[in-house]
Amino acid sequence: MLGALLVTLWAAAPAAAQDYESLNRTDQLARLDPGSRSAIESILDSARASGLPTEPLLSKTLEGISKRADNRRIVSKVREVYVALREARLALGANASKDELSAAAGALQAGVPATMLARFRSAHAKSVTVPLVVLADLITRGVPRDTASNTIMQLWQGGAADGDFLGLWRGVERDIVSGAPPAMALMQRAREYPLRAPPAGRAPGNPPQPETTSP
Amino acid sequence: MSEQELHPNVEWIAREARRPVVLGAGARERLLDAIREEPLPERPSRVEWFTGRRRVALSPLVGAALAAGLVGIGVLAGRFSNDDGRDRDDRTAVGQPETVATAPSGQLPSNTDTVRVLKFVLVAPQAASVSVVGDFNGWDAKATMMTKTRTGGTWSVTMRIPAGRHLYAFVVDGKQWMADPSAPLAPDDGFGTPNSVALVGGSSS
Repeated sequence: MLGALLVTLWAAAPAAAQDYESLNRTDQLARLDPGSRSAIESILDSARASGLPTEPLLSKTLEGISKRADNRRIVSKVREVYVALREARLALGANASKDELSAAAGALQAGVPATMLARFRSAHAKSVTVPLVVLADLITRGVPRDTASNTIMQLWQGGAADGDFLGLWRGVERDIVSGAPPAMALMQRAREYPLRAPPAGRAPGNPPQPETTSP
Repeated sequence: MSEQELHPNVEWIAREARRPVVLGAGARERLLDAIREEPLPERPSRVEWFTGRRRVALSPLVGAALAAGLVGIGVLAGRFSNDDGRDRDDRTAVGQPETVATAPSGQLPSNTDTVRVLKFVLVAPQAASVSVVGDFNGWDAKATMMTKTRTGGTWSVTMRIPAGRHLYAFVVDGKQWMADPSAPLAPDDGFGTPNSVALVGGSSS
């Protein structure tokens, strides 16, 4: 009896896990008015044609629908994400992963200049996803853009690992919640991370060649 | 040995022993009074009955069977416990409200599995329902309902999610959107409610 129950539970777990894969998300676009749906599909086609990931665009669309946003606003925000993805790829290079592009697009939307993204990529070749996610969070929490960008860049160039950035983020977040000024919290927490020699990778000052994309 | 051979003294003792005892008048009453004066022994309470020491006799066979049963229970409990632990380890995230997610372990696992287990946790004692929404479930507020622990107001749900960067939020009571307090914030969503970022390890990034 118990064995049968365990087998049943064991078998049910993977099935539940695949739910997200079985979602027919494009059907949900039908909830948009025809004009907005057409505009979204046009943006998706453009992204596909230029090799950009479409998931962030579709996700933004569904997010807007779920939050009952105005259709025109949804189209506007999806277009913003598309533009940010394009700009992110120009800054990070054609080999940037989907996660890197999404994180970079988020950083751009938070106010990080594209030139800063290019500096992240040129510093070394490992994934910029985590430092850019942390950078966007810090700016969103009130750390001045330049302070956040320069501090994260220093740590990045100093060889900080993903765990270092996440640890830094946790500390700063705690300090801000406790009442510390955001910039002060970041500066003090950043001192806890000794700079290390950057790992071998792309040499600094050798940024990726910008790709040529159709407008 | 016959009676005729007994020593005279022994015969005298035997005769005395066989002679009926004659009690004085009132002896029976005095005896009963003395018994009545003795305090009654206290009856043990139910708690004492359960907690009091007593001897239990078991045959070696029954004892061995009980021991084997206990070992079996321990093994099963260990398996369930390990499963839970695996979930926590796999949650790579940065993100979960109280949690563990708290506990975001912060470290992106190095293995290359493309789907990982992520546990979302939110402390919301006053909430009647909580769901998690994100790019992994089409932002459907009814797709992934969280369950409340028996004690406290902690809501949680465990999901298998593709590795990578994900945006998500919680929906409390079907209408109030909120970011995960224990995860990095995403930049303005453009729709007036904040989102969080989950970094699920093993991505291609």
